[in-house]
Amino acid sequence: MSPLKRFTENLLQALVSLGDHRLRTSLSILGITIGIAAVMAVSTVSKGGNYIVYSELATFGLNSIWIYRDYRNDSPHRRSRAGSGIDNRDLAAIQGQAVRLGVSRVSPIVRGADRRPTIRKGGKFASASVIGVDSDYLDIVNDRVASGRKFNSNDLETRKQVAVVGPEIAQKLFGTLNLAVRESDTTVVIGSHRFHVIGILAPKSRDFLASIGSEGGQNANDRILIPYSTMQKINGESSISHLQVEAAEFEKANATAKALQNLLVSRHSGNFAYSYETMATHIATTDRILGGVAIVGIVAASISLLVGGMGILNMMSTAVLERTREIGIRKAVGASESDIQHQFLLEAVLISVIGGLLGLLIGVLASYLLARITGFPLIPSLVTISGALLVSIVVGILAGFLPARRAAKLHPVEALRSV
Amino acid sequence: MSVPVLKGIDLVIGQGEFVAIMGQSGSGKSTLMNVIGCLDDFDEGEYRFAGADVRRLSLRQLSDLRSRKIGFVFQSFNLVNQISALRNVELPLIYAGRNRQMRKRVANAMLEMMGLGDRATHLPSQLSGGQQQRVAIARALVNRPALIVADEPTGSLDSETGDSIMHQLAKVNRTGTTILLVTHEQTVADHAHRIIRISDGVVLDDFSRHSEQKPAGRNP
Repeated sequence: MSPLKRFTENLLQALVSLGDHRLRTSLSILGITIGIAAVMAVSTVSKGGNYIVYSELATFGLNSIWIYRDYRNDSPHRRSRAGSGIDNRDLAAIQGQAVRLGVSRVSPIVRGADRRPTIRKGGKFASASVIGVDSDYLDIVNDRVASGRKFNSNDLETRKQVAVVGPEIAQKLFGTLNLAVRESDTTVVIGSHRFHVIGILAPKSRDFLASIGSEGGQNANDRILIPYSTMQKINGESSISHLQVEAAEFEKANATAKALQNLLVSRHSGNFAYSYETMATHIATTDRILGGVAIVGIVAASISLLVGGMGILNMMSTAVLERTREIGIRKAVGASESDIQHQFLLEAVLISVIGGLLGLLIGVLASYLLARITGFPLIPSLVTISGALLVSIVVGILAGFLPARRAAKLHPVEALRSV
Repeated sequence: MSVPVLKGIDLVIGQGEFVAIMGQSGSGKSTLMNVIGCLDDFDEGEYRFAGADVRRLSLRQLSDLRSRKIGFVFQSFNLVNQISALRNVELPLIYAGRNRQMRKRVANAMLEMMGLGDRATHLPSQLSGGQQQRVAIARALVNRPALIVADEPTGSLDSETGDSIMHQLAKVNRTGTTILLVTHEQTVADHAHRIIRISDGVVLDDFSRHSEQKPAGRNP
C-alpha cells in the first residue's frame, strides 16, 4: 500500500477513535485552541504596538538626523564661547555637498527667546511652540499643509512674517480648519510680532509618545512654523539652534550624521563639540524594547500552549491504557508497529491541528475586531498563521510520540490479555 | 527468572488439517496456540510456518504473516467495539494493504457467507454473542488465510450457538483451510479430526480420529 493510502487509512482509524471520545477530545482540543489563540493574540497585539510606535516615530521622519552643539563635551578651556555653533554658512556648506554627505534634505531649526510665546487673535489667546524652519522641513517630518500653502523661497529670502500653524491653534484662533473662508483676516500676533497665517497643518497623532512624556512627543498639533530667516531677524543673530537633516538612505543615517558632525567640527576649527541623534538609532532602541516585550509575551502565551500539549499527552496516555486490548486485536489481525504508532500519533496531531485551526480562527477574528476598534491594521500575517499551524503540528507530534510509541511496542499476547 | 511453559513440543501440522489442542488451564495450550499463531515469541527451539523460520522474521514480516496467512478467533470475540461489523471484517484487509473497493466487496461477501449480510453496519454491541463470533470468523477468513487459530471459540456461547459456530469452522476446514482449535471441552474437540492433548507443557497424546483424514503429507 502506498504511504499516502496507508496515511489515509490510519487517519480514518484515528478519526473514528477521536469521535468515540468526544468530550475528552474536545477538552484536549480546547487546550490547544487557547494556547494558539493566546500566542496569536500576543503576537498581533505586539505587532499593533509596533505599528503605533512606528507610525508615531514616522511623524518625526524615519530618516531624520538631529545635529546640535554639545555643551557638555566642550573643552573646559573654551567654556566662554557663546553661540549655538551652527550658522547660515554651515547650512549653505551642507547644502553644497549634500550628495557627498548622503543628505537628501536639510532644514535649520531656529528657536526664539521665548519658546512658547502667547498667540493673540482679536480677543482669543493661545500658547504654542514656535520654531523657525526651512521650506524643506515639512517634507522631512512628513507634515502636510491641509489648507493654504507652505513657505516659498520668497518668504524665506525676504524674511516675511508668515506662519504655518497647527490645527489646534487654527481651531482656537479661527474656529475653523479651513483657511480659505478667513482669507481676509488671517493676521495673528505672536509674542509682539504680527504674522500672516498662510497655511494650516494637517492633524498629526503622537498620542502614544505624548503619553510617555518624551519631549519629542509633545503635542504635534499646536506648533507654529515660521521661516527661519524671519526668526533670525527677530532674534537679531544668524545662529541656528540645531539642524534637522534627512538622510538619503535609512541604513546610512548614522554615517551621514557622523560626516556632518566632522564637517561642523572642522568648519569651526574644533571650537565646538557636536552631538547627533538619528531616528535609525531610536528605531533600533525601540525594536529592542518592543522585541523584548513581545518575547516575554510570547513566552507567557507559549506556556498555555505547553499546558495544552500536556493535555494531549495525558489524553493519549490514558487512551493507550484504555485501548490496550484494541491494540492487541489490531496487532493480531496484522497491524504492524508502525501502523499502531501512526494511528496514535495521528490522533494526537489531529487534536492539536484542529485545536490550532480553531485557535487561529479565534485569533484572526479577535485581530479583525481589535483592528476595527483601534483603527490599526492588526491583521495577522501569513507567517504568523503558518507558524501557528506548524507549532500545533509539532506540539501534537511531541505530545503523541511517547504514548504512540508505547502503544506500538505493546506485546500482542499481553495486550489481548488486558481487560 | 522465566519458567518454561512449553517443553520439547514436537509437532507437524499439515495443510488442511482440523486440529484440536486440549488441556487444562495452565497446561500451556494457549502459549502453544500463540506461538503457532505467530503472536508470541519463544526462547528456544524452531518453528516453521509454511517453510519460513518464524524466529528469523522481523516484526514487520511477522505482522505481515499474521495479516495474510493467519486468522484468529477468540473466546471473547475481540471485535473492536467502536467500529461496525463491516469495518471489523475489513481490518485485516486494511493492514494487508488492499484497496477500498476490494475491501468493501470482500468483507461484505464474507459477512453474507456468515449469514450476517444485514448486520454489516451494526456495532459489535448491537449483535448477539453468536453473531459477534461469526463476525470474528468472517474477519479471520477475509484474507483467505492458510491457518485459522481458534481459542475456545465457543467458550462464551450457549451450547446451541457454539455448535453452529463449530459447524461453520468445519465448513471452513472443508475448503482447505487449516484449523487449530484450542479448547478444554471434549464435545468441542470432537469436531476436529486430530486431537493433541497437552499437559504441563508436554504432549500427552496425539491421535487422528478419522483414518480417512490422516494428516496429508505431513508437509506444512
